[in-house]
Amino acid sequence: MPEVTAEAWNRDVVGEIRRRLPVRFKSIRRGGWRHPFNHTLRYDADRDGWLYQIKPGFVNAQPVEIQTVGALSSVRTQQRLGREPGRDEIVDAWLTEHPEIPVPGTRAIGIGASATSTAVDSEGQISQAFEPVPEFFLDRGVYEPRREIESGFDIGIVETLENIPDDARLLRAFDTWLLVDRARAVVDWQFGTGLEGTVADFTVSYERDQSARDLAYIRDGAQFVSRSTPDFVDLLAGVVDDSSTDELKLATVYFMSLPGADPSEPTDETWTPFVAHDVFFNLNHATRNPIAPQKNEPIRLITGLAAGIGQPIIGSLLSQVNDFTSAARAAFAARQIDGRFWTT
Amino acid sequence: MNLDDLIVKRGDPVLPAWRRLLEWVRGLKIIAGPGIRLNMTPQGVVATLEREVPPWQHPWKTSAGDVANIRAGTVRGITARVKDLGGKLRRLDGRDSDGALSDDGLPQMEVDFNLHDERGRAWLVVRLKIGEDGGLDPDDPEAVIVEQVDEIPEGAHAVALIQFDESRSTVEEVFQISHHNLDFAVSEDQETGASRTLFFPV
Repeated sequence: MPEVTAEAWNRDVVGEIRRRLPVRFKSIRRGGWRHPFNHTLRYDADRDGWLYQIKPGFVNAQPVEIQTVGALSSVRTQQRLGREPGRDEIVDAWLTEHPEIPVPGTRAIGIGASATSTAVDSEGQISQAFEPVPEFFLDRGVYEPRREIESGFDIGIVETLENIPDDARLLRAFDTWLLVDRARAVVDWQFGTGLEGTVADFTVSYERDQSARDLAYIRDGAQFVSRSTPDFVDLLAGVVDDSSTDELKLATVYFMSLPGADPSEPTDETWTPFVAHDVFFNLNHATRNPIAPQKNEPIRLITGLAAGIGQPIIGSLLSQVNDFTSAARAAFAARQIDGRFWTT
Repeated sequence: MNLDDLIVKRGDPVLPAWRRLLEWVRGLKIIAGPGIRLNMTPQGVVATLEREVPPWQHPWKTSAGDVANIRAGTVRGITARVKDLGGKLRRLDGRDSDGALSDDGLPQMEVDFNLHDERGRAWLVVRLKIGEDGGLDPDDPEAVIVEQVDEIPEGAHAVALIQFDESRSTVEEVFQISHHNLDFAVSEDQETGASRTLFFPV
């Protein structure tokens, strides 16, 4: 009776099947068009970490700066600086100089993520909210955080981690964003008494920080947090300061692990990067109104109130709707210089 | 392959079924179609799809060496013109004023290696001749023109940036700024009379 040896079976059957089965599909894109601000990533074995590069993008047809370390700065950057920076020295490179940038710290999304908010209901139940896992990654085996919190007088606060599948993938991310420094509008109120009541003079002047940059620049971090827009009345009343920077998120870079990765693992070369871009073209940026020194003349308004108002109540006064506030709002709106981005 | 052909009963010789299995496996050959490269390894087949993506032929697409070639772009529907190598203002789409294709082909623009900023940069900008009514005259050859500048003037819009090399004798790189046809709006500050021209894509 003929025998099928293990060696023959492994070589002729298993080996033959293995040689024919596709193990990997790769897609290489040649030519085509990559948009400005397009992010690409590569793992640098020498630095033992991920690096990213951004295709040159422009704001008002001017190059955009980004910070990197001297060791990753390009020859063009060194020529512009007129020196060779130290290996770990932080340098401002232009995107047109094609620098590479070390990937910053990341945030976890899904399993291992920190809660974005925590709420307690009337019965004392604690619930947490998390950044949602994008559907693209849910389809690929990334799971939403599974964490339950029980609270009670007798048990205190107990956090239970639900079992997760062994083959679950992990997801981490960081953001990049664009900033443009500009002048800020400063409102100054002066009060006096006139024949018709209290006279309010307000002046809008423009200040530019000494450290303000001439070029737009990019920053990165675990998460972009957009500054809240100050309330118009608060700005007009001088209660809050105008921002001196306009910002725009450029992209979120995700890293997805192999199945079954442990949350304590570093984001090494076994992780796969994905980029979700928010900006696809070069940009223009302009302030809402031109900054004109001629506009610094005080604007005189009659409040219609008896004498005696002052800075502390100007905010509540401006919240009302009347001729005085309408005039003040219109005058201030014509002097606001918050910036706007749009594509070229 | 019908899997039933592989099933053997207790006591049957397995060899014929094994041979049928081998024959089937050997027939499972991955065949590379157009653009697919196969790399057979002991661990299996690595299939690589090489996609040739045609370049995007967008408005204002610029290439530059000794001369610059700029693909046609419009501002408010008017095709921009450029001074060609003969010094003649011609439409970027190579057409005459009446829309007929010119015998001279597409216009090329001379690159001025002496016109750049201190960093060796020059911009190709669109300049407009805005009438008193705030619009453009389609019959005016100078209504929308592209020209090289060393600094972007007020009211102009850059479509590309040319970076010269250190010696300023060759073009090192061309960066595309605009990818769309354009329209514009002129905003005037009523208090100061200052005006600015804002361009936006259409």
